[in-house]
Amino acid sequence: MKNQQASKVESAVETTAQPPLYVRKKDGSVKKARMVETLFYISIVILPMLQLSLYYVYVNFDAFFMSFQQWDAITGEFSWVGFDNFRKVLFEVKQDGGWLNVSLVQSCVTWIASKIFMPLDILFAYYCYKKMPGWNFFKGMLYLPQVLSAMVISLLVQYMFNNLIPEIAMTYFGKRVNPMLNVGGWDAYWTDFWWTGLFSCGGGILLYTTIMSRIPESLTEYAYLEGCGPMREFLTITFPLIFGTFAVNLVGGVATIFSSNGSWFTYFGTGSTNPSSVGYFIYCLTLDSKGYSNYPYASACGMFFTLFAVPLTLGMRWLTDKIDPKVQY
Amino acid sequence: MEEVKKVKRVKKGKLNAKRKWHWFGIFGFSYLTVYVIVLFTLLGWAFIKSIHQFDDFILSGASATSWPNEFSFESYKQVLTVIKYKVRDTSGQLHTVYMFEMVMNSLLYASITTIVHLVTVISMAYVTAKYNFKFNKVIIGLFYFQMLVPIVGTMSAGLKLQMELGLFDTWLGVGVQHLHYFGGVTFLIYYDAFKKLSDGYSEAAKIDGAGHYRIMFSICFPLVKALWMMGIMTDVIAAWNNYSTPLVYLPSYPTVAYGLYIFNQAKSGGEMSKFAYIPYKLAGFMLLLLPTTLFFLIFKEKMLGATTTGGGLKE
Repeated sequence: MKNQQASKVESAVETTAQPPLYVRKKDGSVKKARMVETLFYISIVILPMLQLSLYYVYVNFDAFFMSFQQWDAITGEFSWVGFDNFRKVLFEVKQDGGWLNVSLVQSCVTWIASKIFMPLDILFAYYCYKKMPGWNFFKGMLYLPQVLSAMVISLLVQYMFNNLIPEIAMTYFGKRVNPMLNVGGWDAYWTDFWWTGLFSCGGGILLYTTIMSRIPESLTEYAYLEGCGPMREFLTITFPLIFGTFAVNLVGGVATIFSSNGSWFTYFGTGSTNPSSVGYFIYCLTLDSKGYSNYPYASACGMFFTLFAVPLTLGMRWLTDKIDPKVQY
Repeated sequence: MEEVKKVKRVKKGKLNAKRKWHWFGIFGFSYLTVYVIVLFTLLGWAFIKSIHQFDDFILSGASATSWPNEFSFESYKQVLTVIKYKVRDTSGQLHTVYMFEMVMNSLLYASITTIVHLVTVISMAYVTAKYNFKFNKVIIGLFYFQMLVPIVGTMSAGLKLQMELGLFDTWLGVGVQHLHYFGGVTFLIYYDAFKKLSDGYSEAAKIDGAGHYRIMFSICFPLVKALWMMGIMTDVIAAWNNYSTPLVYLPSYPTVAYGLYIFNQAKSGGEMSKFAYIPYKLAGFMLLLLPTTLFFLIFKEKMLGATTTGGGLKE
């Protein structure tokens, strides 16, 4: 009787038993999943890392070693020359009025001056962020030069300063004005300097307006209720809150002292020794090279200026960290 | 009753007092107005000069400030045949490249550089943000290293490598050159976006049997669509306008920008001869500006608005 009851219970349990919620997979399935995940990860990462190892690591090492070599056009071989290339760089840097000397001086002046004009970038982004009159239209217009070809704008500017302005001055004012963007002398440099500083102030418009738009409205409302004007609000609230982005731009911009071509290649091709910049100098050396003849010297220039760029970048980073108000919202 | 009386006693216009113009607003408005006037004057002047007849400068004494005797769009038609550049192809033979081929080269250059670079950056950011591997630290560390340690003047070594690998002056070489995640802060933007993305989407997809590639392409990438749409727009514009890189790495495949640059440099000799080609040069410039300007006008709201709403992450 008891056995019959037990068997009835067993059969009842069997028929009413729910299927298991989780069926244990075979042993090693987690390992297999991890292996698939790893293979996927490798498949994504392998090509960029390979490219990096060639185009970044190998290229930088090659540039370093090439700076101690010279290329023989007859045999087509590189040979070691020790510090000869660096001695040539030092000599040309010290040569007053020489191409590299002028390039270095003008690069440094350009970088320092760009920091003077940098507030315009941020202020116009602030103008758009505060939705002051015409902000939407001006925002588009400030961004427009990023969309238009820099080469075309530069060449139009060159026509304007070399042809249009001298002609207007002569026709309507009877004054003779020399073409202001011709090769030779500091006139062309200062013309481009002022033009770039005053009319190329929309480079950061998108970035800064984006960061500013994330500032909580409550902060700006409190400031308004306390009687803060726009500039007070900018200096005490907005700028401290966007300082991080500003600092990244500042730190990243240090490298451009020695790498930026400016507009010199657009204006003058490879024919300008004044005005010039370090980046333009190295670019011209590479472009005008017959075979690899100029490459060792160009690499030596690059390595030489890297010695200054690296501590300057790290120093700028230290400085921005030091003065960062470190406010959060 | 007393409260209503108080409200009525307030002078009309007091509550609706006009906002005072702060000096910053006056300065900003004036400066930006001058900026816009100068920009439009420059572009307008270029357009006016481009619709001069070719003979205006030689026979009619046209100058920088003169108005066209007759409007003529002949320069635009002639640009296709006048603007040309001779290159030596891989077999060593001289080959003349006209404007149409330059446009094709520009489109190909823009497509390859944009697609390769963007896909690389986004997928690297995705795997670094979503997959827990120790190598992620190396990837991010390298990114910060190249940002903080600028190494100057490696273009010559890069060119040497391209030549040694047989990739110099080839479209494959252009693609390989852009197969990296460096350059600006794009990688960080995508990394941040994927980090903020909930893991629930990918987990739900895994339960449904989706593989890693399927999850990446079909689920996670569309969730950051606003970001990569903007990335495509800005990269295509930058590649279309770029002339210095194709000049160095793709000398046999001149793009429109590169071709116009060479044409502008080559014809600059002597006042009259320089001016004689002004209509063609400026017509070429206008044609170079036209696609990007139209592109900007059509997608202006997307380009300028996408970032102000935090990148448009869908959650």
